[in-house]
Amino acid sequence: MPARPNSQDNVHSYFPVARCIFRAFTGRWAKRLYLTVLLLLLTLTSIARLRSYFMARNIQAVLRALAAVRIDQTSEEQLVKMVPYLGKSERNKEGNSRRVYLARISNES
Amino acid sequence: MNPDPRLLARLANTWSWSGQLAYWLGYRYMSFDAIILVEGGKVSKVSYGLANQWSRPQYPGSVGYIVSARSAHSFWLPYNMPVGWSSKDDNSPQYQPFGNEEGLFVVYTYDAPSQFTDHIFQLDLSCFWNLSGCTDARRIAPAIWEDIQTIQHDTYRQLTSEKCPDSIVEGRMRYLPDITVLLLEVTGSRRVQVNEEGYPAEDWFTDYSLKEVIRGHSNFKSWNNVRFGQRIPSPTDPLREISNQIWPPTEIGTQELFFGGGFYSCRFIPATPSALDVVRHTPIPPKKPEDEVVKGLM
Repeated sequence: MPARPNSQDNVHSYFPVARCIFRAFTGRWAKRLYLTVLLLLLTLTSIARLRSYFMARNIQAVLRALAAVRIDQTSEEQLVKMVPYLGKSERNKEGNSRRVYLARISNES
Repeated sequence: MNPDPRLLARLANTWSWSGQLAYWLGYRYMSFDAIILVEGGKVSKVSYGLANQWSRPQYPGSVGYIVSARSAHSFWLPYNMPVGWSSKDDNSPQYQPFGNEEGLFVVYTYDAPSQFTDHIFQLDLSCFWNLSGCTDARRIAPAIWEDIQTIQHDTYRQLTSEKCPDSIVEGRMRYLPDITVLLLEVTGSRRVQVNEEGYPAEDWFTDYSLKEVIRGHSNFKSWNNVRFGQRIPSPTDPLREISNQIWPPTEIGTQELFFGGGFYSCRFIPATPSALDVVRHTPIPPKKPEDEVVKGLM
């Protein structure tokens, strides 16, 4: 009595194109491609998040310093020493007793 | 030559799609500005703003940032116009946080206690690198949001206590240089039954005589028929109204202080010796150019 073909053999014999596509998407090279894309995405997301993390740390450093600044008490010399990433505004005029200092941290391109 | 609108729409769509992908991958727009003004060798003003998206105009303490703050010596508008001063500002004049999940803003005075000013600079920036993203200002500045709730609660309690304490008077005198304060005396008072579109209601009218202009000027020639404002903006939502439960004294001969300006409540306060002392002896605050309230932003 001849052996009855199992259901897998039926699929292989009746749907050869589907079998080909299935093999292409689950083959060794496909798996390598998936892994590469996944690693690439992980690297990109890690770089983006690490960049944000370090930028946030710089912002926190400025905020901590600003919390210690006292209006009408902290002198200009103290301010320059206390607050990191601080620069003088270009709009300051010489001889003017009012001076503006700026600290700008941004990932704006 | 005008660009093809269909091409522009496709470009915008591509830009939006690529922006979404970048956001999903962890790229967050982040922009922080700190501006410090030095005058006469001392720090005169501190402000900062944190933005999570590109936005113009930007003004710390008002618009363009998700969290921002600015310091002030006083609050004033050009041409001596009255500054909007809510019941919450009365309760916390030195530290005025406001906003919601879309943006939190703080204006604090030069002499605000450090227990409040510390909260202004306590930001949680982890949303810029974690999975949730930065769309809720309350998560970036939880201490400021908590303070808003506390101040709202305290203000509501004060408004229902039927009292206007001297601390309110002091706050107004210390930080509002263009305030008008008049000393008035009650000369008459009457309750009038009115027909309000078919419903019975009553109004309360009081007559006063002007005794003294303590600060500012009196805009009115007559102080007769002053109608009691029965509804005031709610401290939780200024677009809603609540009933004004602080009735001014109406006994003939009693003296009252009238506060002219953009006040929501406590416009008439009994002229007690302590209130008069505060009004007469609090020095007028300086009107520094950097403290001018930008009209339309506050």
